[in-house]
Amino acid sequence: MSAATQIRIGGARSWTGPVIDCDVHANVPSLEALFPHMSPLWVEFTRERGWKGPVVGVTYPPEAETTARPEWKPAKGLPATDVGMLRQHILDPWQVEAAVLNCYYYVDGLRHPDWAAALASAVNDWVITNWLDKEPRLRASIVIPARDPPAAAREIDRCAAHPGFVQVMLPVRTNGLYGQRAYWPIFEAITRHDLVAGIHWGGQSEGAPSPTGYASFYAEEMVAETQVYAAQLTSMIIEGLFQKFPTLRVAMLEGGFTWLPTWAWNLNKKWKGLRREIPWVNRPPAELIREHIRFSTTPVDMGPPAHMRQILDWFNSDDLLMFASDYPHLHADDIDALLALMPEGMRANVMAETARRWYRL
Amino acid sequence: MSMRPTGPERIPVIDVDFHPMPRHFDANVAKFLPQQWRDYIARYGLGLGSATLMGTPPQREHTHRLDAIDGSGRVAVEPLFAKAQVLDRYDMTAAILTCVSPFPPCGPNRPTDLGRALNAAFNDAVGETWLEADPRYYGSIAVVRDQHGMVDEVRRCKEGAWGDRFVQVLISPAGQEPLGKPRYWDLFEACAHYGLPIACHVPPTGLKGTAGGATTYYCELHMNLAAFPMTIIPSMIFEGVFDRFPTLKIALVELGWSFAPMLAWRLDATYDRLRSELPHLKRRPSEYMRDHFWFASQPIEEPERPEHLDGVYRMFEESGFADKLMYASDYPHWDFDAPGEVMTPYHPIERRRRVLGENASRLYGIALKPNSGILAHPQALAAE
Repeated sequence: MSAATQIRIGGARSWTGPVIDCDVHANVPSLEALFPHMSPLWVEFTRERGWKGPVVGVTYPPEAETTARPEWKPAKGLPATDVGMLRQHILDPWQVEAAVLNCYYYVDGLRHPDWAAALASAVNDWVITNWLDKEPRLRASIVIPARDPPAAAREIDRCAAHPGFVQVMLPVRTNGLYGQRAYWPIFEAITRHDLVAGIHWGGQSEGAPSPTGYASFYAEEMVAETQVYAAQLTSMIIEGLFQKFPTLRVAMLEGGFTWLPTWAWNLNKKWKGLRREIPWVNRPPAELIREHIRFSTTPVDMGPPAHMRQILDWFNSDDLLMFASDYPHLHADDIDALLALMPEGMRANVMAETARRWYRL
Repeated sequence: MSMRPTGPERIPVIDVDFHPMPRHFDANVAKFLPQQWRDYIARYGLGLGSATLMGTPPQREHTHRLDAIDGSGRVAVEPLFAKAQVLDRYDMTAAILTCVSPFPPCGPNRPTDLGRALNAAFNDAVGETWLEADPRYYGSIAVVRDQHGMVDEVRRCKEGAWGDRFVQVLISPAGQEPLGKPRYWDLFEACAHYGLPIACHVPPTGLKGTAGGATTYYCELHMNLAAFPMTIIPSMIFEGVFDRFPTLKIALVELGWSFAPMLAWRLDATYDRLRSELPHLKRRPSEYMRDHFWFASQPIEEPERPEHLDGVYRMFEESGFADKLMYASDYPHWDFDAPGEVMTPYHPIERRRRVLGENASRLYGIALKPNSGILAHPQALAAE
């Protein structure tokens, strides 16, 4: 079977129950679109410098096949820039009951701390005006100036009053791992407002996004991205984030899930051998993962059916995965094939119920 | 130790991860250093630094198991003590010595010639102290990653006094660039020339501990070792290393193994979407992975539910990796695995034979000793 025929144009055809899509994207069409949501100072800063907006660093080539499915690319400009496209491509044809919108806009790519905070606010207000207030099926993530935890907490406080925000988007690449105490003000604000911490592809760490330098190929970077998610998950467990914030709910988005069971066993084993160093971790890490972390289905990275069934069995839970279209990105995910491997109760959880509980929808 | 009867069925054992732990100030190392660098070290001392490693003190000074302290007061300094504790006790055919002592102290944070001289002194010390002590010890040529002269060191060792006993090259899993990059191709060419596998073993000598910077705790650092294959494998495959060096073999030691099927799926799924970026590949990524990567057993896999253990091995075997998993003890470290604990009678006898000895025997070209190793049916013997 060729790659092209594996790609489904649309959601799960075999599934007729409720659908909640935990990860769709919006692109800011241009920096000017944010001007109505910025103070004149930052508009002037932008114009004086002829700045076009933050850029994503590292290897990701903007025209990679994965950026958008061909049928989701507009004739002109960026994909996923207005709610009409999202309705036409996802919400209506897939009969989505609710979708969580992530508009990252590389905010942490801008270093000026005040400007970055203003930019985050502008993106959040743009999302409210152009997406949340226009489409009742949408919920959204708050973007934050992730390099400045106190400022991030203030932005969370500012936005949390809007009922459309259900999550705070934390780019997976950072200079420091999220479990570390410097980041705790962010998690304090997230839990205070009963939001989800959504670890999502993106972010810019100092130097290469790996312990061993820059990837040559985007495909290489993509395969290796699991090491970034795994390091963040490990940090959150080992630093005691879930003991410090017992109500914290985390979503790992666009990081895959097949790596999880053996990673979790390994964590259990390290904890068993070395827990004297981290006495606050008072339960086996795999249990903490089941209680506090969920994973989007993208990318599925499908293996042989019998082996995929084993992976799902190793979760020890039917409540860990949440369906995501990852609109407008192209994945080879065949959601029908994944659902076919699951017991009935797990399917309903994956397609809607786990996300409904996690995001309080 | 009492002599065992020769009657019962035995499973021959090769240990692929056994750490001599000399230090640069030991006489058996220092004697190989040129006077210039002995004077330099006497005058200035030698920082052992790697900031990402030194900030998280391990659970014990030598990350050791308590009973491994030998007459030196340290661990794995005296080859005969270690021989009794491991080689003799489990009646091993061979132990592949993985002396990583040069990795942090010989890196790029030194005058280049000092780093090279010290690296060479460690390899010579392994040869003279360990390879001479017992014919069952086999050596690794440790090369300090990104150090100028890696190829020279391989050649020097292979063509030196213990050349036939050095059976692989040993390198850190993390360096200044991913392992598939052209800066390492000369090294691969040398390995292909001598028919040497390359083993990757920590400590990492890269720019940071994880993608998100240094870890805070030793426990966390130790956990993130399992992340290195996620960069090594795609880098080497996508750079086309195995088309360029079709006989090259890579052993990932103490870096996990049960992840291999899932990583193979992810490689192929990503390749399917981004094939236009990788027109130079002649085969599917998972095929390169199956043919060119070997794995070490330690630390032994412990699923949450013990009944899943057989499935972990079966998935690995059914994915084409059955002949790629090799027993490793990690002596003298705290998380040492004994061969009978890794491959208990729970496992089918074919798997026990492959993992404990056969796979390493093929990779390293070391013939298994007949009628040696651990008992295939320990309960039966106990019942007699």
